[in-house]
Amino acid sequence: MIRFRQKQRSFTFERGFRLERGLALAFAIAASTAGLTAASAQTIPTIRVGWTVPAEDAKYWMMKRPQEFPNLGKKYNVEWVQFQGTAQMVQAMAAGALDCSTQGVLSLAQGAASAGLQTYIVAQHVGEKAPESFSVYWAVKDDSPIKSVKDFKGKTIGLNVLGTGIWGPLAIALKKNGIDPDKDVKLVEAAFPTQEDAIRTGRLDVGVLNQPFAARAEAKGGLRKVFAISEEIPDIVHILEACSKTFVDKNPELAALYVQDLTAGMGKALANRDETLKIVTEIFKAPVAVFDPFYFKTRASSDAPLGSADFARDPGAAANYDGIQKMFKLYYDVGMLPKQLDVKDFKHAKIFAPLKP
Amino acid sequence: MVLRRFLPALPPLLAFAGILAIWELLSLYFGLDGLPPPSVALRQVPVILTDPQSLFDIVDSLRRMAIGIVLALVFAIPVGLWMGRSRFAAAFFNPLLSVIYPVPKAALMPIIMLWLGVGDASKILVIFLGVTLPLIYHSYQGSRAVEEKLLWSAAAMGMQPPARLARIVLPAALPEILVGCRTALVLGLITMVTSEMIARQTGIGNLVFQSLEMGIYDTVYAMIVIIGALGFILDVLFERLRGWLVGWAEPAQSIIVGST
Amino acid sequence: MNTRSSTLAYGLLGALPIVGLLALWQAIHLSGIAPPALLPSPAAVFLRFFQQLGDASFLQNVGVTLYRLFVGFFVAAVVGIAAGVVATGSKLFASFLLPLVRVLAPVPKIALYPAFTLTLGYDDASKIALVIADALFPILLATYQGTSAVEPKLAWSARAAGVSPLRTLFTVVLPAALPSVMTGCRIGLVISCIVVFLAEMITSTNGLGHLLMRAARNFQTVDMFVPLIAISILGLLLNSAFNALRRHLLRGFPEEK
Repeated sequence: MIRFRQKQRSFTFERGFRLERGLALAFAIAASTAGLTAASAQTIPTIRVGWTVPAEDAKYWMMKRPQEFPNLGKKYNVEWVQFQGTAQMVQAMAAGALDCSTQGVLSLAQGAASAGLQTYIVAQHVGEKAPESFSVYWAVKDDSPIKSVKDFKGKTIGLNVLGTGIWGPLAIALKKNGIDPDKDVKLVEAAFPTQEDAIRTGRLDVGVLNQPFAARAEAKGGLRKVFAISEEIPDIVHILEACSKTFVDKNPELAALYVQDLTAGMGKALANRDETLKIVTEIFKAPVAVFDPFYFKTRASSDAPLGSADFARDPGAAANYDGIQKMFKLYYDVGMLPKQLDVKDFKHAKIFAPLKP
Repeated sequence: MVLRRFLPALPPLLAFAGILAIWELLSLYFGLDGLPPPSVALRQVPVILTDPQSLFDIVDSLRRMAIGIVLALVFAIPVGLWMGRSRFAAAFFNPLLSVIYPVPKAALMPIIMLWLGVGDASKILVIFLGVTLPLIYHSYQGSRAVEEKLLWSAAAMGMQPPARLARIVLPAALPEILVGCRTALVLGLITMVTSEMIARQTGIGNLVFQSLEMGIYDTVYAMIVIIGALGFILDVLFERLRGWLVGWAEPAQSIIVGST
Repeated sequence: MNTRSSTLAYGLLGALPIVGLLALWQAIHLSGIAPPALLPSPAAVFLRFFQQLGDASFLQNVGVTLYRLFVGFFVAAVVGIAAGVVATGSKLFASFLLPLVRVLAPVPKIALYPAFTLTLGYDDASKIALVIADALFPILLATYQGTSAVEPKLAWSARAAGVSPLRTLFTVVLPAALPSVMTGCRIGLVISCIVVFLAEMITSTNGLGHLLMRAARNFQTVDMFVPLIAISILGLLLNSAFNALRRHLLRGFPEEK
């Protein structure tokens, strides 16, 4: 099919040249931009740190108020990369693309057991401390016939991520009630913020609520808690900070500087609630009203709504190694870990929080 | 009459008003947090656009998209043109492309991160792969449709094969290539955002996915409106460029089948 | 020219880069640059793949993915082609449609996916909706541009012969623009593959993408790569099918000698 007119005699040359010149110019611009960005080389040692949402207050302070940390920016620098979740950060650490990252106990253990990823647990961000702290819980609609874990058989249960650490306690509770966690329930993976809507519209029979979404759901009302993790494991460890062994062994001073600032950061965060709230809203671009109702608060009594409280934090960001060992055993018993792990392999002789300079 | 001058602008405005109306009705019908009405979401747009960090994010993403698109243009168009004229090249590349393209790059991120780290390079690779898809296939198509006689005349006048590709096939295939470019622009914007789904530091995707993960849906939808507006502007600019480049290829009068 | 032997020769030529890719994969695995936890050996993956082909639940997952893929693609193709053709024929329709396309096309539909899952459920409907949303625009754009570039005299002759506007569009203009339309569909098909997989990876209870996610979460890398090569092989099969269809539909076009 003829698509042009023959009377344009010299179009090939004119248009062709114009096109080629335009392309060359664009390529030159793109190449120089790429070159310029690569040329900003680092002269002080840099740690590549992965983070995700939320509750890593020490790191948020380091990100948004670096001036509060005398060594940060002068003796060492941090390159922050946000990830979709802890499993992706395990992969990134295994690929050597990250030095330290936020981790969950289970994802870290699986990384060690199945992927051979060797790390040191250097600090802990949040955990639970029954009964005064928040505990991740599963909820149903008020008018639902489900009254307890016994009634979960054959139902559609929500999880934020399949194979997440919070599944362990629920799996044990199901087993105790004669329900096979692999066959007798239908698991659906849906992000935390969508769980509330999913319960209300009936897409899920039982959904899981975490902060800050639990606070929001409880404020709206109409949902009823049926099972909280603390009913199975009272002081579960949720989020810790892990650094790859190769990195720490090669750069002990750098790692020490980082852990010192994590310790200091946690202290500052806990001591200045208002400033911490400001930082958190800056990072997540969410209004203060999302976080204020529960941040750093503890439950007034064991009858008070769970959503009114926050997770527990150690003032020195110290990791609860005993608790972590208990969790390793639990996950092995429930079949989520292929082999037994010893938390001693995860503890460096000197570098762990709280670390003072 | 003043009204007649503004008449052409009426259908697009009505179309946009229509979308907003449908959106508003849907969100009222479902009443979910996950689908806020436009009246709520649009309020976030000025908030985002006046935040310097967000503007930096947007420019940063566009920079990566530009690099990805330019690399794709440089690589994909010559390969597509070559494939169209040489059965050898087509037989060689077609199966390879059909094996690589359908794989979602998000699943390959760990492998990509091994070599390209978590920074710009891995994202540019994802954008590159997304953009080359329409470019290669449309260039291939455009190149195939070029009249043999043109090439024979050029060869008879002593033009070498690479020169024939550049001087004859490229301009003749240009209309089809530009169809590919339009789709490439669309896919470029989409992959620019999705490339930041797994790991990110700055960028439009960063803004979108962070709000998505925190359940702040009015920001998510405000970002969607901004991206839509960006795409619209880029498409308008592209259409101008296309007219300038291949105005000669348009039929003098457009196809008229009915009265509308 | 013996077409059967030349087809075989071209087939082997096409297999060459794929074999090369597999060899590269094997070499990287052997060299140990990539930890085995991230990149298993191709032999192990293919072995597992063929094992899985005998497993009913795996085939069920494949079936579900294919169902969503094809339904989504066909709806996108029908809507996209129809809309593109009508937009060429009717200036009024085009003036409404084009701005919508320009604004909606660049939006990453994946950001709308949570809304889809909440309103349409976690099952097939939300995935099919996402596939349609993503595959529609390349097909529409290619069709619209292709039909606009068709020689107007063809349309005029048909109208002069008394054919109705609608029939002219669909029986004269559309076939004339078929090469462009087919290219658009080819792109739409690839996008459908990517999107259905991605949607199943994000939120699903079954499908190839879901299998990949489950394996990834449990660090079973061999099982993780099986859905990936399944989708690659699917791409290859769809490519051959598409080429065959193209040869059939574009008989008589000068380029398809």
